Amino acid sequence: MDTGVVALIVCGVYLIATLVMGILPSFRVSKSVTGYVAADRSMNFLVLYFVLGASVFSSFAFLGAPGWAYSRGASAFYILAYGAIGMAPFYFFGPRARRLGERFGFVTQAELLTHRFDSRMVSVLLALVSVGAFIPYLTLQMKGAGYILSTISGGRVSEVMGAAITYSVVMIYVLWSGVLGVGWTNTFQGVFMLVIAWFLGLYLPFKLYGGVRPMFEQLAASEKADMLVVPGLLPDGEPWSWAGFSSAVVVSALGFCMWPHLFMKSYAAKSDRVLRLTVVMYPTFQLFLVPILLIGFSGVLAFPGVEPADTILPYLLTQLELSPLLIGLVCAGALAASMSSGDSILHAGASIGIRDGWAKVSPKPLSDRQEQWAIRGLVVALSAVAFYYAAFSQSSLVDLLLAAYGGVAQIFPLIFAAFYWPRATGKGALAALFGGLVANAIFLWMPELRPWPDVHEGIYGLAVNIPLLIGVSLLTPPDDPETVKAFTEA
Amino acid sequence: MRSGLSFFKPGTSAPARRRRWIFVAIWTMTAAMLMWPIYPRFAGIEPLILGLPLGLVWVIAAILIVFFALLWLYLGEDR
Repeated sequence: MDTGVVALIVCGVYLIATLVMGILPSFRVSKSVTGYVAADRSMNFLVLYFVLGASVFSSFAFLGAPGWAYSRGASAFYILAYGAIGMAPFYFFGPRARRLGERFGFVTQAELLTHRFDSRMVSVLLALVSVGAFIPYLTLQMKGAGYILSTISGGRVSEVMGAAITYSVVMIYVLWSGVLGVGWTNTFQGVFMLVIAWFLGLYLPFKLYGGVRPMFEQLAASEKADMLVVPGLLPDGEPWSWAGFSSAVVVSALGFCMWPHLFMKSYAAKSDRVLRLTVVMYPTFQLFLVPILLIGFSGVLAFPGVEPADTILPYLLTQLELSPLLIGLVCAGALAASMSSGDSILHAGASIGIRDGWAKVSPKPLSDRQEQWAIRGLVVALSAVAFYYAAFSQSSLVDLLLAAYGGVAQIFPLIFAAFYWPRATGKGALAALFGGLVANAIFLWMPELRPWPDVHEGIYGLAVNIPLLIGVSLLTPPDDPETVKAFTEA
Repeated sequence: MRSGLSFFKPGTSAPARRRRWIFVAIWTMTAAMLMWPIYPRFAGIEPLILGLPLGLVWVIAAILIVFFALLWLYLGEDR
């Protein structure tokens, strides 16, 4: 049988298995919003581990990261660097958020901040940032899925069709089961991704160079040796500066556990211990980026000049004489990466948009049932918008996504102050968030205004954010002592 | 109302506080390890360790340091 057909059949089987895994758990969770959004606060270690791990590793991990190593060399270590330090703050924030969630019924990040700072504007602003940051993220996942299916089928399935099929499956189980659907499928997808990544990352250097060490020895002796020296290269092939590398690590590390879809998973944890253990064990998941980078490096000398660089993994698959079954499994692994982030983002984006955005400006309070239906409606709407961009827009989404990191990092000072600084006030928080977001946006779109051109725009955002938080808070009367106490003593 | 920072809930024992501060110190050092001016000293290719370039081994080491520090903190928490 034709390689493409076998690979497509494997992917088809994988999609059906995911669909079944996604729908089954809906029979075990209550029909309330807490059930739909936070799994009745019942997730155990195994599920939470894969939900956190898999929602972080997306299409970017299977397509972007090898492409980055392939074209920009050591600059890809940045992805490992910010992950190394970015998750640890969640060890402290997560359990506090969980306890407060249980006490006050929060299921999103914005609800927590809105309660502490008594500000509807903070909530609406956070909802806008979240949904705004999620759309390019989701679009990237769809493009990745479409790309994989179209490559392995040799174009018989178009990219648009591939994205449509994959995300129909995602939409069905997200609509049906909410967060538990995400949890169970991510467990399945996570195991799958880990196995595939380690296998391929060790196999490709062995097949092409006789091992990992010979691969790097040959690279070090070649004219491309410079790319292996940190901080590597920029997309245009020029060396990346240390100011650029260091500031990008800071911004991404601070933004890391502030991503609303990640943060809100603290509410789904069964207990503080489960949540802490998940954060502790997270690096075991993260190290799977190492073989992923090896995949990219393995292409540098063997297959120079592949354009665009993000296609290096599928390109390698088509160039080497691999078994069609293996190709199918790798592609299913890449689909798993796309879907396991996509589902989490879709679910979080809709929950946040309704609960923190619409419900806060709607004149009438929503009933639990209305809210669930509104969330489901937004799941469909968000999918449609992202699909539109994936299918018809040529705008640079990677740029938008990187811009989103600078915006998301602006939430960090607010969360920190909510938990640890009793004197922080609602007006201070609002000024800080607004100022930080505006400064981030200005320096993103007008880089020529930056005092130090290499420094990441998120740093400038924080430089406006933090002084505003401190200054405005100290100039305004303290917030309600009871609320403050609930947070600082949680 | 206090205007300073308040990191612990009332009743947190002195050893528990100390352990957390030790962790924060380790974490801060690890973060510094991954940036200018420390990382540039370990950013080269040679020596290859377990077949991997030094700059990559350095980041993996940082991940492992944070992992073991967190594990130590976790195992010391009150049950």
